Amino acid sequence: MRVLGGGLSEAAKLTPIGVRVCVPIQPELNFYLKVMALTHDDVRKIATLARLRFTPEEELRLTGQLAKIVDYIDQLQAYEIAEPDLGSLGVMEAEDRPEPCLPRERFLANAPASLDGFLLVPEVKGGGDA
Amino acid sequence: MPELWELSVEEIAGRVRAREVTASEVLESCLARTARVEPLVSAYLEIFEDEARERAAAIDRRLAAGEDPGPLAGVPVALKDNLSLEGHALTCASRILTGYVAPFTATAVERLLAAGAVPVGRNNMDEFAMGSSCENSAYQRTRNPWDLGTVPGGSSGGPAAAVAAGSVPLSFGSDTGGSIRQPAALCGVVGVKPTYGRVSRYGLVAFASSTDQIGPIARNVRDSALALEVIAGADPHDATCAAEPVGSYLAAIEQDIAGLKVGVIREIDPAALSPAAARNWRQSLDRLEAGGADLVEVSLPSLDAAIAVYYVIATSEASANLARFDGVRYGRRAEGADNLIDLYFDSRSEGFGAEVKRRIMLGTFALSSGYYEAYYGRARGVLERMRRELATAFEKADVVVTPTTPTAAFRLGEKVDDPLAMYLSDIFTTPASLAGLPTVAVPSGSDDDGLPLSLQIMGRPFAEATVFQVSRAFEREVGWSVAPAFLGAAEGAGAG
Repeated sequence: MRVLGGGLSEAAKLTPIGVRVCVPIQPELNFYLKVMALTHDDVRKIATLARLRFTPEEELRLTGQLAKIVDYIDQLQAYEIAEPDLGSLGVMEAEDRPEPCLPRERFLANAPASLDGFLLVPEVKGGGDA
Repeated sequence: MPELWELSVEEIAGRVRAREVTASEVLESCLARTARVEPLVSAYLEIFEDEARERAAAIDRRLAAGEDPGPLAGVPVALKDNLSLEGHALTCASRILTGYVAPFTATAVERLLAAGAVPVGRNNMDEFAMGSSCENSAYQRTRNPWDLGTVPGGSSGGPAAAVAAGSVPLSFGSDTGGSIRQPAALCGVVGVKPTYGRVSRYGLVAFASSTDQIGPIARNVRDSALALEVIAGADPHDATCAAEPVGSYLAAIEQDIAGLKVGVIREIDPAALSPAAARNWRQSLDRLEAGGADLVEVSLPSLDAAIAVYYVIATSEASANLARFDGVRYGRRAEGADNLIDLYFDSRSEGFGAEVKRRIMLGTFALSSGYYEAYYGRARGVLERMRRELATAFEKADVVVTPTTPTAAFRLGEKVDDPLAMYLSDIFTTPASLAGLPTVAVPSGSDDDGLPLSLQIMGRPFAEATVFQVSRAFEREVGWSVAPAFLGAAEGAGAG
């Protein structure tokens, strides 16, 4: 388990929702809350998930940059949280009924390759060694 | 006698509708101004002069036939290059959309056309709206008209620079975490991020769907209020677009703000602002008081977490939204891949720029197994906390103000190698995005180098009218008039 400080997250979850003040936990405790630094291997794994390839130089630079950003984002571990209230998201209920969509030929006009009204792609099997 | 390009949106539409000038004359004045300033500013990826001339001529014909083309009759407008206009290229300033032609028109743009506006071009932006300086465009660097060595802000840097340079009186951008307000601030113009759901997102290329909003950029508050009135309102094509009636934003805009309560966030540390911005911030509060407002202290303890929350939420959503760009259905396809997986990898790796890849990576990480709760889950929890803090603030205050940005425009290249430093310039704009609140950035004066500074005014959901009223009162107190100075470069002899 790489994520530490789970105990505090639990404590934060138990905070009554009515409490509006968000108290940053004292800085000296941050040591316990730190999520471990992003490694080269992590970056490679994420790149595969994201369908992106990087040169070794790019990968090195990206690891440094992402590690710095993730380090900054780790401050969130020190904030108290509130449970999201899904009713507060402001999503409107739209009527669910079928409507005409973009005609096929207009859609396919932007396709890099098509054949007989279908998208044309190379063989599905193989590849993926990022 | 000012030239036509110098007129406000209201004046242009008023004079065109009264047939004192023609839409074609206004357009020619703006095109001539654009020809002079565009080589210095580079705000556009494309200018479609011929089509604009046809549209303007059509408006003049309708007027001659006794018709009223609408509240934006003959007003030249520019569009950020993530807003669809049927039959026109749409690139989001990305190479992955090279060759893409919008097959339909965005709802907001449809409404502009129906109101008589004349689109003149596509504006530069940070690729897929990811950036705060416009330097992430795959195509060109846009410069700030106030000092050509500085950035125009981003991601709507092109729309803001075009308006500040006098090329058009009105442009439209999108704001996900500050992408209208921050460039408007850096370019000394007014920028509006409406309430989430106020303007349809149909036809806007998605970045982070839970905060994306389209909004206007103009040289004064009245023009931006009029423009929002035109594009706002329910749309069956966007399920998140609100049914809430729009009403008139101009009706009460000149009312004084005596007795209105203006919330000042206690956690804003003037030491975190540049010295000039800190002085200006205090002065802005004095001006609001001089305008009759009552200042009340409010608290937003999670302000310091806003950037971290925003960059987790927005990149997570972006990593999902940008999965559609894979070289199969539209946009650029990599050559030579002999299987589908490689086609995805190659098309995306060649097509996206460095910042877009960084954000897709960060979002993929935040959503990945083992990290989801620690990053996405926690960010959602802190976001909820922040929403409640803001809701509490709005129990005491009618509007809440902050500086729009901690500094005036920074130098080109200054932050380009330090993504985190770039992100931190969004500290004051991200909370309103995350909470979905209507917000206006209004010029508040300038720093010692003459670069614009800005005040941000936030309101309750759908209280745009109040935000505009306070913005207009503040604008009156500041007495700001936009006069692009073109510091650092000769604009050319006889510049008007």
